[in-house]
Amino acid sequence: MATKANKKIKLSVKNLTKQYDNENMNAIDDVSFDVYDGEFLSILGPSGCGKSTIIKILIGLVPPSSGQILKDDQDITNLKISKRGMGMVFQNYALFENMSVRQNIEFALKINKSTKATAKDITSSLLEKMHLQELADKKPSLLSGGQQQRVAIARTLALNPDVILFDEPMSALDASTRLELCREIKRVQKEFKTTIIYITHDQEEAFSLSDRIMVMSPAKIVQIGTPSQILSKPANDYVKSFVCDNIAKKIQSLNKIMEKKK
Amino acid sequence: MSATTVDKNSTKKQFRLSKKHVELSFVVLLILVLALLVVAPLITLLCKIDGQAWDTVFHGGQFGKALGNSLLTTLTSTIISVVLAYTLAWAISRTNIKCKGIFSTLLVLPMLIPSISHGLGLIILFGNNGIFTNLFNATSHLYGYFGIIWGSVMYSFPVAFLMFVDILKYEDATVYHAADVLGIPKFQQFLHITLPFLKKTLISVFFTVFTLIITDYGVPLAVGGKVKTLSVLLYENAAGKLNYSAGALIGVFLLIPAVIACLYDFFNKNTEKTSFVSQQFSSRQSKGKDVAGYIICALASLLVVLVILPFCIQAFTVSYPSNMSFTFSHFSETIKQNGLSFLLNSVLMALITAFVGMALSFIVAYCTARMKTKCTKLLHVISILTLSIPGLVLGLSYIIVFKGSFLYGTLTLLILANTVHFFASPYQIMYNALLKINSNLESVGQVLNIPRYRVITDCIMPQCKSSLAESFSYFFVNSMMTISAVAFLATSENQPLSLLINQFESYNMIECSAVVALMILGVNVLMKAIIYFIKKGVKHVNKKSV
Repeated sequence: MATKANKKIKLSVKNLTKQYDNENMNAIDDVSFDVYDGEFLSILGPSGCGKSTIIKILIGLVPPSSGQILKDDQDITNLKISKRGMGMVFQNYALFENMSVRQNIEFALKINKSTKATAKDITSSLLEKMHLQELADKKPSLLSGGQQQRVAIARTLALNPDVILFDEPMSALDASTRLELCREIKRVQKEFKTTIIYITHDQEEAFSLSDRIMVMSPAKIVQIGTPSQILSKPANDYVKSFVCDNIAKKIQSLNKIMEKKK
Repeated sequence: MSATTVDKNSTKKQFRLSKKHVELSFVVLLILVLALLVVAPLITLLCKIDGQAWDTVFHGGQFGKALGNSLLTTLTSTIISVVLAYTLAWAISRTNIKCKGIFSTLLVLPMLIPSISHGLGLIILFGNNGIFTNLFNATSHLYGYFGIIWGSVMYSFPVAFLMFVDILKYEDATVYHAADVLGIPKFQQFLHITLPFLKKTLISVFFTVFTLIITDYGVPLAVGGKVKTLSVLLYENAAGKLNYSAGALIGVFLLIPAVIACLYDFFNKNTEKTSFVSQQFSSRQSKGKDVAGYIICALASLLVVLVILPFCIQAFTVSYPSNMSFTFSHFSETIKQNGLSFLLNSVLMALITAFVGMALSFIVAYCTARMKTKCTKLLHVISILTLSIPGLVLGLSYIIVFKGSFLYGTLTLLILANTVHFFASPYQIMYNALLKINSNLESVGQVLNIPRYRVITDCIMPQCKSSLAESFSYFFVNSMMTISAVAFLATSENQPLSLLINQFESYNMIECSAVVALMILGVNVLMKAIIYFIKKGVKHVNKKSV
């Protein structure tokens, strides 16, 4: 597929529209965008603007009303979820509460016909890479929010997806844990060379993590660009008020937290 | 372009849509099954009512009086039961008394024996030849209104007690602290804080107890004497005179309060606000409160034991009260009268009902709590509505439908009737448990390519172990002691043990009735103990893995 500035397009979303059965308005309306290979793209917008609908359609949990999704030039619009090669970290992590951390990671591997030895090897490697060895035999309910998120990421990475979708993964965490996890997610992206699409309504998260940010107003994309492009040239008053005015204050508070951490 | 793409992939899309259709079809299938088991028999029952039934019931001269008796005894018993249950729940939840576990266990014991046994216990104590009647050389006034009210209170207050204990756990203490600081007197606090908090539960408890009492025929049959209630009238017409159509007409009257209760409960729950407890109650040291707590709990426990203890005395004495020597002869006599085979019938029926009921309540609750189809709400409503059908009415409608069929006279029919009769409460237990489990688990399963059945068996069911055990125990215990739904359906081949109490009593074999009640109590206590240790084991394993 054609590339922009020598970047390979990993995902291409074309004219995606979704109207739910019981609603008159479109949840998303004729949305098109590309995601580059190895890129960290944040989808930023207020609650109810259709961010979650987009990633649910991308992963296959919700069918689109119309439109097309291409991954590595292949049409995956109606492909089975497990065949899409994508992983997802859910808003509240949705860990298997009755299983230990190790079992949480191993479960899908075993079901997906890995041999016992392979499943064990992959799990041990992920436990190590995600710094979870000491927590391996604990139940999720005993872990902190940050630790739970690391388990959720490890569980997703077990099936080796090349695109990971994050659905507002830090909405329930405090500011300092968020900062720690932002670093963790960036590390995972670099180490596993995955493409990440990250949903958030928090400007601070989007600006500190992303290669590019897609700003949404209800059902529509308003602007896509690098953080500096959005800050320097907001597409309209909505972007200016929702993103730029807030981010300046947030960056200041972020700096304060980082100084305290140091 | 987009339209073309969607068209191109239409076959695949149809495949994915069909998965949604599978869910819908499954829910519709369950609706049909429940409709067939619940709605169809009730409609058949209503169709059975004819002009002759109308004449028999309304011109027979007994209906008006029975209706009046039912309303009078039920209302009085309900009020006493609710007040007693709240007082006991307050003593357990809001005082610092010791042995709360023992008191709570004793107070719910009456839930483990058939209602008719309470009448029996009262007869042994206060009947014409009762312990206290003889002791004080008095005349018995038990038979009639007094006996019905007392027996009904004994049989129904544990249910209300459990409901109150449950709601009092969720009352926030801070508002009382604030009231104390503002100098609001305790009585005013009760009127303006406690009562509004309890209002919905209070109405719900009232309806539940009212329905339980008005539809019960065990107590009025044992101690009602000449005072006939609607449920006894129904029993006499349907079981005694085999006049099913007259029974059906009376059944309709018994259905009315139960349906109102159920509908009220359903809509009440839908509008309930969710509240959270910012501070739980920790009772402050108050000697006065504790003394009151001890007195209330001790008196109520004594009353419970007093009614249950006579079974033990009668079951093991040669001839009460003239010869109090120890004997096993009543057990031998009960066994001779096929008691053992009836006990096996009961245990087998209760075990299968518990397995089938637990599985069905889990499956239906899974569909209503975790599947979003157009028919889910209807399935939920039908499931809750089963609560409103009195056992007598259900039994009557089943006999009308199934008499003459291959199912009649089999254990399967009793299992079917019991499963439907006791379905609503375990269903609600499972529904609430399943709602609490993370709603994204199935989506996680889809993303990680884990089949749904594995998500259910490996992730969801282990998290519902306690609720599954609870619903198993509910089906088992109630199936062991029920005399309502099975009264019309049992034949000599499939008769459960509980019906023997009534039979022995009618032959004046009170000692053997006591043996039967004791057997049922023993099996139920054993089952409750097993469930208690299983639940404790689950908690222990969870703690250990921590």
